[in-house]
Amino acid sequence: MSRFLWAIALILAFSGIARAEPEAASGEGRELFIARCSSCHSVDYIEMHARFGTRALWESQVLKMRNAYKAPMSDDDAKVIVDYLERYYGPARVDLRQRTTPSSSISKTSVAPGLITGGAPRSP
Amino acid sequence: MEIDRRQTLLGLISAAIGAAIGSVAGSARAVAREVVAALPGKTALHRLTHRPPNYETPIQFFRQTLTPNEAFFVRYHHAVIPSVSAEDYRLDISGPAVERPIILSLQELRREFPVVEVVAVCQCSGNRRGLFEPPVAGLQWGHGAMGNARWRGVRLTDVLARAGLKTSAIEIAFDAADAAPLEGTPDFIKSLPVSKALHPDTLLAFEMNGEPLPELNGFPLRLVVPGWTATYWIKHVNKITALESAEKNFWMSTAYRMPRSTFPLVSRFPSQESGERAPVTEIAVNSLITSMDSDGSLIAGRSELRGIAWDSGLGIDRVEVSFDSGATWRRCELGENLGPYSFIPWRAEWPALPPGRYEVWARAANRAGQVQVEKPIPNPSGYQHNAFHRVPVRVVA
Repeated sequence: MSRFLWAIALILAFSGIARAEPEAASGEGRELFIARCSSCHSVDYIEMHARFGTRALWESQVLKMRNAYKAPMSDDDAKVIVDYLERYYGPARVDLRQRTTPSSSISKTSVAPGLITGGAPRSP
Repeated sequence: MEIDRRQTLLGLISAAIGAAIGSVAGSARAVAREVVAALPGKTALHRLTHRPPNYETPIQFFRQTLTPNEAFFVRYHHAVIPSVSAEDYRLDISGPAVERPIILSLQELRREFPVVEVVAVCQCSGNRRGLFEPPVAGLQWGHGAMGNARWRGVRLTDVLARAGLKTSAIEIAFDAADAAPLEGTPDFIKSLPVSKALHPDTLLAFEMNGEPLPELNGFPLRLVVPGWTATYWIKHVNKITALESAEKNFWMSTAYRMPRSTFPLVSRFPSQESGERAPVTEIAVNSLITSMDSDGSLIAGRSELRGIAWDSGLGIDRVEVSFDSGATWRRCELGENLGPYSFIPWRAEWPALPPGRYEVWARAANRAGQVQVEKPIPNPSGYQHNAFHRVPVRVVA
């Protein structure tokens, strides 16, 4: 199966699970961030770095995603995304975000075998 | 659930305090994450990321020398993880440096080659990256991006012999069924030097601790490279290519490399040593205290004082603990040895100490004279963290 079809199958199979992933912070640049970054990874990759998420850090990471992982984005896109990450995922914003990130429960969640994206349901 | 949330909050608070007091908390700092049972066939693990799935093993599972399959860490670079049935599975062995390209089914692998076992630690190169100060970008692992298992399979050298390896072979490359969502993202392909590929302990494994490999640990077949970090242990391996030149993709030429002055210490990868950085290869000598209470601390005399040690297969010579910041060290008692690549358990008696708060430090040394370090060796990608494990201790009257 082509990679494109796998990606479609993945989205269909896990459209429910995908909602359990943490959501990107609201704010200017969010839509572009989702469009350019979230096809490959969940936003917890970003949250994990917020403790030391300086502009230099985000610039280096966005550059790595473009150059090494071939994420499709223009120079203008990259700037908007770096601005967004610096504003909403900098060290000063960690407290705010912790309050708005949905928490998950310890629960035995059955995920269909095969295409795995991980994820637990939201707490009821 | 409420307790879980509270524990998460406590974890966040303690991490914040740890960051605030800096060197005091130092390497005792914990990385805050949720503990969730979110993956099929897996118990509650520390979740780092949802997609691709990256989950680490909580420390209490390392109280057993063999890590249970359901608690074994999960690490993927790419989000597209197809399910492969044992019946449909095929392994392709080809490339410019083989005499006869072959394709093998799982059944042929099991029937036509000697089946062997090895106990070996599978440890991510970036295990403990989240403990580096200053912080390093990348998955912020704590102590649990590793596991120890009894792997059962066939020797890679036997399978390569069936295809006939030419003397011109330089490296053996491994590709797998998983892939990135984007066409342009470099496929996760890793290579080994021929010497390591032909080592009799390097296996194509189909079982782990007496059961078929879990889906998320590489079903139906994974490469097992005892002594080397998990980046080489390709899961769902389905294509082996014998090369007459060095593999140059991103995952070999750019990622998983360290300044030459740091590692590796013994086990080198000459055909990949161009430039200032060399590939991460052998697992650095390391140890871990595993008997902490749920709050991550120990109470002298009440808690047990025990843990595990491991290295790249050179053999653990000794494990020592210190209660005075490394001024004096006490030798620990080593437990059952399941082989050179395995965790080896250790335990120690509590010394007589006046009531108060202390830190216990643990360090291991191997038979080649390699010893853990007080501070991790800084490197750009945060690999090979093998500083002493430090745990708070209370001595009560």
